[in-house]
Amino acid sequence: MSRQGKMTESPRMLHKKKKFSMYPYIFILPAIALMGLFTIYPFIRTIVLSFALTNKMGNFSSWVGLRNWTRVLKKESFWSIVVTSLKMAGVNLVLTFSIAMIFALMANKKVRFSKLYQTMYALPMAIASSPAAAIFIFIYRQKNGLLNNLLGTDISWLNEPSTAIWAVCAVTIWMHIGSSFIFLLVGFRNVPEDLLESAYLDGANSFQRIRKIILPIASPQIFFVLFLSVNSSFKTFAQIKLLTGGGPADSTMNLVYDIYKKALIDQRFETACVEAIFLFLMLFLLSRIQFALEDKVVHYQ
Amino acid sequence: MKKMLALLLAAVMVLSLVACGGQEGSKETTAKTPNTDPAATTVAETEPPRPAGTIELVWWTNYGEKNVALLQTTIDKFNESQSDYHLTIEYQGNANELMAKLNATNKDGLPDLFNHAAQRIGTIIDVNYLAKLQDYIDKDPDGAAWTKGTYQALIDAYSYEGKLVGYPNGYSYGVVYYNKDMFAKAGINPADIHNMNDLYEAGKKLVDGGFCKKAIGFHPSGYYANCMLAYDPVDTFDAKNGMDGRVTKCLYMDGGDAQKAVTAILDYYKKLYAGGYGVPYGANWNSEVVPLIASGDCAMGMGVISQANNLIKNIDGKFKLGVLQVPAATNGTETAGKGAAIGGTGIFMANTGDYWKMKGAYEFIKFMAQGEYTSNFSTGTGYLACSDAVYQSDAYQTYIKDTFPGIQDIYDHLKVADGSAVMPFNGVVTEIENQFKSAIEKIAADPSLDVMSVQKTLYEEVQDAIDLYNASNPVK
Amino acid sequence: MMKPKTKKKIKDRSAFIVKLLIGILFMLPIIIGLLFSFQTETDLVSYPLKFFTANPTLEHYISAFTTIPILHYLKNTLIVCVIAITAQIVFSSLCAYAFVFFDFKGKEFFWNVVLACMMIPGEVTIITNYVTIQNIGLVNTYPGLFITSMIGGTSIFMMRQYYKSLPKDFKDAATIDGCGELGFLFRVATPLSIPTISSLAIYLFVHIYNQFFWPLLVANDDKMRTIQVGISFLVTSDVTDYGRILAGAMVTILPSVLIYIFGQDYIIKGMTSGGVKG
Repeated sequence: MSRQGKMTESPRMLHKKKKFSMYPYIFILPAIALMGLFTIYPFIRTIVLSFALTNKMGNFSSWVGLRNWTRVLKKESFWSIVVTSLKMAGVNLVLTFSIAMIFALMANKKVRFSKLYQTMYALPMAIASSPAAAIFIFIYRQKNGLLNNLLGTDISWLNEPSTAIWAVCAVTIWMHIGSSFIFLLVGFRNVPEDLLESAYLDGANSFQRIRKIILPIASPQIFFVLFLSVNSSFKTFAQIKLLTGGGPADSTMNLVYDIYKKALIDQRFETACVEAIFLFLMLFLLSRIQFALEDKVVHYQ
Repeated sequence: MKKMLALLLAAVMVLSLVACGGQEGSKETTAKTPNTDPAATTVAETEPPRPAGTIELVWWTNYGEKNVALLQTTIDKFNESQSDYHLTIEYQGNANELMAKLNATNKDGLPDLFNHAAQRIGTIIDVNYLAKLQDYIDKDPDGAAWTKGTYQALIDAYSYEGKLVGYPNGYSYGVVYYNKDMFAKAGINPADIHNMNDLYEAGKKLVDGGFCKKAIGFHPSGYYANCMLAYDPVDTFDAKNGMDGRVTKCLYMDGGDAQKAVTAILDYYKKLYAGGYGVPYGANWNSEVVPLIASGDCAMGMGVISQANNLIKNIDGKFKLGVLQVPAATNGTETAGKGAAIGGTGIFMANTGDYWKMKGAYEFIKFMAQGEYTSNFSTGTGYLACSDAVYQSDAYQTYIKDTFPGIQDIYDHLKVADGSAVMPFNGVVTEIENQFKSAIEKIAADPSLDVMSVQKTLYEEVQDAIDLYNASNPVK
Repeated sequence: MMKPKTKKKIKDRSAFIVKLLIGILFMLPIIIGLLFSFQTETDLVSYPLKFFTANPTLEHYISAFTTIPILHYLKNTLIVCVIAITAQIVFSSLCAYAFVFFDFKGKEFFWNVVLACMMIPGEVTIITNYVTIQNIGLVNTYPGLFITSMIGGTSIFMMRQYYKSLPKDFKDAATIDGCGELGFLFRVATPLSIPTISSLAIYLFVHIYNQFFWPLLVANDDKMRTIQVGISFLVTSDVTDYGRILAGAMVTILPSVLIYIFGQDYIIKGMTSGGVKG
């Protein structure tokens, strides 16, 4: 891997390196300033506020140390929200990834007009959550809803705790398959043709070719996709807001939606901060685990 | 080097954060106890110079487009009738979204007028967002005249410490709609339904007798639970449900009447859903419950009176619609249930501190309260007439006769209503309603749950919310 | 017995048809939205629902366009997108360029800042940002809407990948020829990076066009709302007019779908150029 910016050594180069230039600082200024103001500052503020009480405006009121954290972590309702988040994320991850894999394998070979179905598999990722939720509300309607029509059932998909969570996850999965699919597809297409050809000539069937050649060679890409998916599988917000509002009986209440609810509807800003930091730590931990597993699973060329 | 920089950065952030918090704290007048300092919101003694031109006013609302269309005619008339002020109404989302917007807005970003749920006034009084309408009425020579005749029950509900704080243009009421024809066929007398147990029995009779598939559907909100408690009547919080000062204790587990009442409510839902008599709790009122009632599949619906017109439209004359007050939690005696728990939204003036804008806001409320405009709004929506003048108007009488004769029952009750129904008044009403809704949802989804454990969780969450509120908004 | 070549042909053809059918099935929600948005109100509540109606109607589209300011929402969204995308491309190019072609004090520190920003989820920052925007007085303004989208870690990463892919001696050769720092950036590196920039632009468009939470907070009145928020109010409104909701949804997804279909090669290239290399 190339080291960033280090030029090949030569007397002239060494001389150049020592020269002080204002340019880099000017160039990174807008980016760093914006990120500092809109990402770093809020992040630190959120951490700090999680140790304080906030008033109605969301501003600092008084220090309480760890009491916010103990209060939140003691509550059974908080842990059930965490469990729901993990459940939804798990379902999202597994189904998005598997279907994206299948699609990518299906669309791998470029034939005439394969672009057609390749576009179809990825298209839902261009659909925003609002219109997607709008369409699915129509589909999930109980009285004379489309899904009930097709299945001949009379289920209130969004109002029964047993079905609501699947209904919401279905929308998320549908929207997210596209991006995973594209990444995987590119990874698969990078596998050298001749390797596959020779394997075919050696008598390997499709499954063997997939398992022994495509998957290992594309494993960095697969790992990357998994990594992105884990992050995004937690982040379901608009669908929940529009489809179920966290209900019924909090069965579709995930951490992100609860943060919104606590901060803006219940006006409990410090609790929202605690939960936000908790979410961040959870994601951070998961990413650490993933990177630790990377060496065991990924084969680099 | 890196670590030092990072630490330095963090320290700077923390310092700026605390400093910022202090500054913003002083931007709004200090958080007050219920005993608000009147000087802070009275009309200024000397008038500042009036800015030139038409003053723009803004009204933030959660009224949907149908209601906004009705209000727009009034607003247009107001704008046409004078050139001092020009009012625009803006939709900000549903009630929760509107409240969230208001809460997150700095004082100088506030609109001039806004809607707010009557029972949630407590959540904004403490931060001094509210300009007391009474102050302006007192300063206005015509003041007493235009508020005369407004039903006393409403004036009481929209007053705080004896001062009217808003105007009940969207006077609503928790009710149970019922299919009059079906009730008659099944031999059920609505006048016999006093408490939740009676409601359950009626529903059971209807379903078991094959008159309908489901007994009742619900507009999902904890507001109705508070209604049931108010009609008992029973205080569920100390300080006389918050009317006498800061609420500190939640009484859901007090071992006395409050606890019994809450249990009765949760028990109702447990029985209802255990028997499969209820439409799934949480179903969308407009798109799912209303069609069921209109088609006769469902006998009753617990909602608010402002939903009447939509329901009537869907029923399309197939049967007569009746309406009765939300039953009390436990009591069925004649003395109980005599109050009228007010709901709905009122229009309020924001305490923006801008003298002329606030004056303009007052002028609009006064304009809008005139009989013809409010009756226009009431007949168009189903919101109740807020004064006798409106009730007696031709438009409204026609409405009763032609559209919704059943509403007369409500007025008959209102005439004899006393002030005994007190909704809880504190800074966390939203959370209380949401927690109740959650508790009911849990039981509705799994009727095998133990009511006491759900009640205990409900109590803990509500008490927690109160404690947290009091800790972060100290009485000054 | 069929010739093996024909057998293969049939196999390939059927495989193609199956994949195509699965594709159509996968797009079903979009198709449903489209088909039912043209059905009359009575058709939409009639039982059983039919996919194809005998009486197609444009009434919901007309209703959508007249009752809510869809074109206005689209205009707002477009303004926000154009400014945010341009800003992101410019700032991230500059930033990435600095990191790749310069060695300066604090470089590692600042790079870590960039990496940290990529890891911080939006949920943690969004509400504080709203408070900040309020304090600056940018609520309900275009700057308030686009300012938080003017930079992103992904963009910096993508541009960095691109600059790193340039031959190392490239810059030296150019500057020796008397190009100067800025000259190299503007006259050589940037024009060459147009494909990457195009990919980034299209990728960002879909991303920013679909933003929901932020515009929900920042835009107070209808004049400033973006399309996603405007449509969501249709869904949660007191009148559940399915025809109009579907029509509104179709209008909303049209731009992003079209851009995706025609720009997908760019998008794919952009998305994957920042990916893992072996």
